[in-house]
Amino acid sequence: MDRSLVETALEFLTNGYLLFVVIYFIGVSLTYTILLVIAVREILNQLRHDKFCNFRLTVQSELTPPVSILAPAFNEGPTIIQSVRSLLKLSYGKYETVVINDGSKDDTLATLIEHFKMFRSRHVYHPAIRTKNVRAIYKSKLPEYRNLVVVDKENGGKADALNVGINVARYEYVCCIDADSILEDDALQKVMKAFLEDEKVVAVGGIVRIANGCEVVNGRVVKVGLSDHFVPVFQVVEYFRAFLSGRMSWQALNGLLIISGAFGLFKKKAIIEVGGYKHDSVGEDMELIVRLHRIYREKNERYRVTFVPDPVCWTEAPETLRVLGRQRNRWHRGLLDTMLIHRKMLFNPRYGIIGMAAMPYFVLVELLGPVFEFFGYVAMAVMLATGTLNEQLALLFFIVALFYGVMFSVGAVLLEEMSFQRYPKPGDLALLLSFGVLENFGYRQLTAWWRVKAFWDYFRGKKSWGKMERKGFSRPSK
Amino acid sequence: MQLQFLILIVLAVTATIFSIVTSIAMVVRKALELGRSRAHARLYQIYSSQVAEFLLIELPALENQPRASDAFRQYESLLSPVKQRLEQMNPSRRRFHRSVLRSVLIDMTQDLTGESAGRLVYFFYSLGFVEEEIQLLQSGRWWIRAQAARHSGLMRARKSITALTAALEDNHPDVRHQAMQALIVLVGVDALSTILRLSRNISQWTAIELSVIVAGFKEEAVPHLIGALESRDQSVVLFAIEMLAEVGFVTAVDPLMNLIRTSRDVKIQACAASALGRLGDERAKTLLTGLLSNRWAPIRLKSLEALGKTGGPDVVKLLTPYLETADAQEKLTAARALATTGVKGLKVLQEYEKRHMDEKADLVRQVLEEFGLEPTHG
Amino acid sequence: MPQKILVAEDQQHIRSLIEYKLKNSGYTVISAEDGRSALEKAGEILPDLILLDVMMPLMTGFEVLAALKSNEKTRTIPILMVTAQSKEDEVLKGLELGADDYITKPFSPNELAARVKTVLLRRKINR
Repeated sequence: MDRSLVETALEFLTNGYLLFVVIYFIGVSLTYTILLVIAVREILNQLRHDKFCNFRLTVQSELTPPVSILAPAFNEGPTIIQSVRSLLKLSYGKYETVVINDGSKDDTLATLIEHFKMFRSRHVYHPAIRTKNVRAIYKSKLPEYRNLVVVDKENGGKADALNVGINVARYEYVCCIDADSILEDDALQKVMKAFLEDEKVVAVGGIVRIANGCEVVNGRVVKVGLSDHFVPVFQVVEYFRAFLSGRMSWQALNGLLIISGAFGLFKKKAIIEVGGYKHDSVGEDMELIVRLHRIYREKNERYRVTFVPDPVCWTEAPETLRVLGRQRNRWHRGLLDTMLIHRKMLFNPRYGIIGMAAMPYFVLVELLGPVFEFFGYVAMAVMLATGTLNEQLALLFFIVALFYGVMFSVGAVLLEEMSFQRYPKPGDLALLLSFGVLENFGYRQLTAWWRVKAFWDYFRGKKSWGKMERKGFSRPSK
Repeated sequence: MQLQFLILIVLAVTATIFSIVTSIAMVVRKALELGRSRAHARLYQIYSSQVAEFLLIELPALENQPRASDAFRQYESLLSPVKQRLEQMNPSRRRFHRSVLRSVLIDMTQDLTGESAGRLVYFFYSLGFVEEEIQLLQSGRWWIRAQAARHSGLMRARKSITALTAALEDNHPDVRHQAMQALIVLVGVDALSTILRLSRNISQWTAIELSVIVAGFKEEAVPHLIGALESRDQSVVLFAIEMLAEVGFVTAVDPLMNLIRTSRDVKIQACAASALGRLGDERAKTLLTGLLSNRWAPIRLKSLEALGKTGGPDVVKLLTPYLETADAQEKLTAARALATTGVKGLKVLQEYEKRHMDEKADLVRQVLEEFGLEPTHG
Repeated sequence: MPQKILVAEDQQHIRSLIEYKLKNSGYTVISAEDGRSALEKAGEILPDLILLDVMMPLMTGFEVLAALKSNEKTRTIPILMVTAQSKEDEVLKGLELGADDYITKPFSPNELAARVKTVLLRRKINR
């Protein structure tokens, strides 16, 4: 059989590439296993330790530091009152709630002013961090809402809104959340513990769990369950992977690169010192943390960024693939943006474990992983088309891909079962595990495609957030 | 090529199957756990009612001047049927029952006072739980030791005092803290001196836990706290200062003033200045006034704040010039301090505000609003 | 006719203690384990007194208190709150919302019985 040079080269390339992807998957699986083992040990240790912490004492003691909660809001009209009311009811000593209206085009501000009987305050605005214009600061006439502050500003994005919040915040610790995050009653107590136990800590993240399918009454999750729709259920497993195995293990190694924008607590001084959130970045939450690492290491100051899996923030996850796709697109652009901005740190021993391990992991596994996988499928398609399919290699590719996905998911669910067991019904557990397996037959490939597309979008200059639909929050029980 | 691939494929398939088997095992285990916790809850309910009866049942009155052993005999008669039943069980069942019984007793001891609480302590001893916990204090695993320390305190078991004192120097911080708390419960406020003496690097978290307990002792804790001011450990000193400010007893003023004069630690000085303010004693005024010109900003600010809390007309006169300062933080603190002194200070702020229509008085207007007064214009 | 007391308390051990003591003192005791069922039972049986724990899951004691006071049928039932010791503001809030008296944990069962008796007596006199 005569074959042209091109065909031979093509066959060589596709085969070689597939082999590379197989080896890559195996390498990632090994790394992941190590991380999983570390995460298991950390979680068990923390759980044991938590049994001896009486969190309610933080509510009673005078020594507990006060906290400023910062909630940026943009077009949250229908749900803002409920969100703010539940934020005002948290079980903690002294704290204030600062809602930043980021130039909403709907009636968010008017609703707040009316419901909480607010007036224009004479609070002087100190821009410790430069921000867009602040139009007014409002406080409430009613004594029961005296810890509520609403700031009205020009539209500038979430990062800018958070910076404004930091400038207005009265206390030393700031808790940055999304306006629709549902914080558990004792979340503040538990997340503050990380700061109180170790003075070096500058930033703490808590876990974000998916509220779809849970019974929410009066802004509180009273019963945990799984959604009827399949899209959120896939995400539950993904979040376990990301938070329980991902963040838990990296924080044990002192290499935590990201704290969720939905729930993070910081020392205000630290954020101001590094210049606040970067207002024109796509993934401002991750970018801030990486910058914290960078600047503290450059200054040779001792510090820690930590993750506590116990305090919980519930959030509404996208229920349709379309909205989910937009969200993942944005996340991936954010990841890419951050890595590019701080590329100087990559493989740079000056930045310790961040530069030598955490960032390379993020680039090679999180950022480029979907790309490698995607081109694996492309290579196979090419091989099929040219009739040069190497069956064994293809089979190996599929099985390794399946295994690595299943192992990640099962491992993450195992961690949840060993620790918090928030899903009490064995039926729910079985469902999660099956979704963890099913995920590899289409869902994972879909998310990979979204993330590959994100590269293309990023380099074409798309930096916006895209439209996120807002659905009301009180979910009736089933 | 062929063989290597085959091996890899087989490995991958085995691994996948292994994962699936693990998953199934998890689900089964969870279902079993559910069953077990239901059994636990049912047994808890049974023991809970039984123990409630033992604790609250009226016992026949004893003669005049009864001896402790008479009362104990009565309590023992309540327990004997339970003890007999436990003896007759096989070891694993007995362990289960004993652990549920113990949790019922421990839960109750946290919420009961009065005569029934005394009976509870007897039950702990008689059922062998006290001895068990003392043994567990020697465990190789820190979380077992910590829990044993915690339980010993809850059981009010004076017999464990020696073992707990030894645990104060344990390697693991959680064990030490539990031992601390248990000793305070068992020995009372006198344990504070020993505890503060042996403590190193108290984290803010531990300080908070201790503070709630110490605050409960009020003035009785003061001499021990004053003693702790001499500690060489910064965290212990800071804790003592905070507690003295909270408990608020006048005997603390002199030692605190002394501390400011002798300490070279900025943090300690600032904290002590703040505490003097909270104690509100006149005597501190001179010292605090002196600190207003200290070279460290935190100390100056804390002194401003503290002077505001001590109040008095001379303080108002002293603070008024600070309104003219260019430093925003100082101006804000001074304004707040003036407002805290009372009507006179507020009047000064209002006059200042009337005099300056421009941004100079913005901070003053903010403070007036914070204290509930309407600014006149701006 | 023995008087009926509704006990709203989520913790089993406290429930057992209160149930035993009150039964022994001659009352009929009905128990509820959380706020919602407490409200239901209160509406159904219209007890002579309600013992209400402040910290309960699903609905806090205060929310139950407010609901009881705003319902015509249950508005006049005397309420005794059970609170944790160092929470003075809880006590004040409860009394403001309409509770008749309170008892703090840790408590003495004898004292509890005495308070119950007093509150019931006061009600009888005021009728």
